[in-house]
Amino acid sequence: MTDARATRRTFLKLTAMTGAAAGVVAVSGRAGAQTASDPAKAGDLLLHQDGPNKGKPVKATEVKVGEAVWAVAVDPATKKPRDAMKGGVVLTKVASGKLQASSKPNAAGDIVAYSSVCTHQGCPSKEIGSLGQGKGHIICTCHGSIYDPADNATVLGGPAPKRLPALPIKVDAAGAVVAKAGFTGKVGPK
Amino acid sequence: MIRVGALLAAGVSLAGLAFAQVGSYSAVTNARLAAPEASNWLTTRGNQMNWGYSALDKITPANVAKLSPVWAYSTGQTEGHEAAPIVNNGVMFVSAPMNKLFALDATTGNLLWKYERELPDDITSCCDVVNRGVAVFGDMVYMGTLDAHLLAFNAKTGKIVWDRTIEDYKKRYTITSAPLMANGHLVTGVHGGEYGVRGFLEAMDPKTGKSLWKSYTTMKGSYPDGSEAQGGAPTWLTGAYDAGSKTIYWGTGNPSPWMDPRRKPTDDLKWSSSLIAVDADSGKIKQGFQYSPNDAWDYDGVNEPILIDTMANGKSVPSVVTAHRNGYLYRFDRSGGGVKYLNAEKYVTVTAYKGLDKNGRPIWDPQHRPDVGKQVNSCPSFLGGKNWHPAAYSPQTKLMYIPSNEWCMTIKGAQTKYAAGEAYVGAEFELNAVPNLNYVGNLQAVDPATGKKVWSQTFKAPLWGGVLTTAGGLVFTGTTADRDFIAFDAKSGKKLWSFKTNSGVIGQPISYSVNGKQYVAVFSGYGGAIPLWAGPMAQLTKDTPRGGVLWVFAVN
Repeated sequence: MTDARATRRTFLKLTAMTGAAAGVVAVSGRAGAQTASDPAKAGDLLLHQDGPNKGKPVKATEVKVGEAVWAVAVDPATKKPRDAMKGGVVLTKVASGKLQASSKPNAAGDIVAYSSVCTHQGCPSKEIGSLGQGKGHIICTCHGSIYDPADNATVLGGPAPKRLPALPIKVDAAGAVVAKAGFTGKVGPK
Repeated sequence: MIRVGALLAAGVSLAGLAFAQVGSYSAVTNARLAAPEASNWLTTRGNQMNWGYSALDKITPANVAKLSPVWAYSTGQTEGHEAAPIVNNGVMFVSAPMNKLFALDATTGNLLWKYERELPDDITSCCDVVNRGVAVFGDMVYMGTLDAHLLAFNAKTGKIVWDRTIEDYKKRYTITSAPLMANGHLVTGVHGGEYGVRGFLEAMDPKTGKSLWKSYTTMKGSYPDGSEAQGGAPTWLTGAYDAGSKTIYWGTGNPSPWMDPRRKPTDDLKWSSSLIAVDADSGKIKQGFQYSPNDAWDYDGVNEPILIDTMANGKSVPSVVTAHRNGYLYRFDRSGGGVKYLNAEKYVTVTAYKGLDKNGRPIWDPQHRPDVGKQVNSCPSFLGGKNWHPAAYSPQTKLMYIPSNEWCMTIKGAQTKYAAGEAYVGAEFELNAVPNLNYVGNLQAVDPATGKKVWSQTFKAPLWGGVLTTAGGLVFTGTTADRDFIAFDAKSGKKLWSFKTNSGVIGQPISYSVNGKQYVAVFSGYGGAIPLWAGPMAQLTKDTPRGGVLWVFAVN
């Protein structure tokens, strides 16, 4: 598994540079197999799912290095999630200079956003770990899957079979983080 | 003997798909369960006292080298295969992950009938979609399910006789272990301590499924106000039954969440991480012993209670012995259906406690007790000195054979909030090796009264399969990374035979005989909790291939 993952990771890194891999956003849009029932679309707002700002738009200034913001993608017209089960998003900021090529096409500066639905069993992956291998990475608190936010959420440990799909983002004129496109891959477990 | 009936007509549904039926079937009675025939294996551990012992003696150290496969059966599942087959006069019932159930001819492996459950898509379980076995009584077979039902099948046909919803699976109640027959009552526990369930035992009429009693395992007043309703203490491994005192001995799991800032040090959180003595007829918890009051390490107390007699103060005393997650082997006096602490001895590396007091209560070491925001290292890890995989006891050697593991953990409490259906753990953790130790798995032969080690066999990777011992003077268990099924000399521990299986062996070996021929059966099919929870330590088994096969061996 690990060897295979490493190989796949290398492949993705290489193809990311050419813009050929699924999940890499090209200028004209994105590759990937999303459907009409996408849990997120271009222009969607990201609203805090918990904490003191629950229900309010996520501002770029609120996303900090070493911390996670848990949000949900909502239709800007209705302010309702397109899919409450699959529209969860985890945002974090990567330390300056640490963002890898695989993450850059979907990031807004050093801010990255990924589906918060763990690819193992669908639990929320919405925290940044503070110990061991999980330190500084996105972790799932169900079974300890670890994803690298600086490297397109590649799996670093635990039972997750594949990376979290990214949500391409941008910062709008009001300073809010919004979706630039839908998720780059299938949300949740296989 | 089995007489296979004619094939049923086509058009049966996937659930309860039947191919044939059992021609003759021996009804299982209370008397048979209390004194099972040596030729049969009527409960997951061979008897109601959880010995994991077969009185068959045809396979011995002298001929075990000739042990070879006689048949095998592939389940089609790639998750963890932890079940013990049940054998009743040549008919075998064995469950597989995702609640598959097969009835097989125990001599040929021919399929008699099978059941495949259509589980809901949103099933979530902490520790793989395992099933650890079924129970048999009368002419029925009983299986708990991942969506928290209990099913009763006609043993001959596989037809479902009754189907009871035990609890709401959307709140993450699951059932993974076999029910227990106790004085004619069918008793089940529940799983879900990582999701804030409230543990309980429920007894039913085996004929109808009608509830007879239900006893919760979290006590108001022992938890911070109101938190007992999501307080954990799940009952996820099968207990034992003492027919003499009509007492059920059953273990309980961790409190939910693992750590909680609302708790005061004086909150014991009864009856989490405990052994409880339950009146079989009323369900009343008569007495209990709490291994880990106010537990913060996920040291569940569910490990199988083994009912034996031991010597105490020069007298033979009815006892309970159990190798617990916290690394201590406990012994209790069970006279009169109670549970009175006698002694406990370490069987693996323990740093979590300074020790135990004269009543068996842990003496905490602040340096190794985690809390919300407080990170420590503790041994053993939360996967325990021994986890679910059962030990065995031989009345011949008077030894207990413990499939133990040596590992530690870095652990820190985290704030968490209960939401039905979501994980409710309240901890961050990572497993690590015991410093300066070159093995994790350790099969130990131990005197259960004193904890004195007689022999041990170590393995680089963790052990996760059960143990069988036999009147032939053998001990059987399997390995995870090496994929071996191994026979040892019960007295000396010498390795006498091994067979390379398809996958990691995490099943519970059994032995039975048909027409005088002794067989040994075990599941190989890696999975379970290690790949999900063991973090860096799971790397030791990263190359173990998946896929479940039931292997049956005999000396030809």
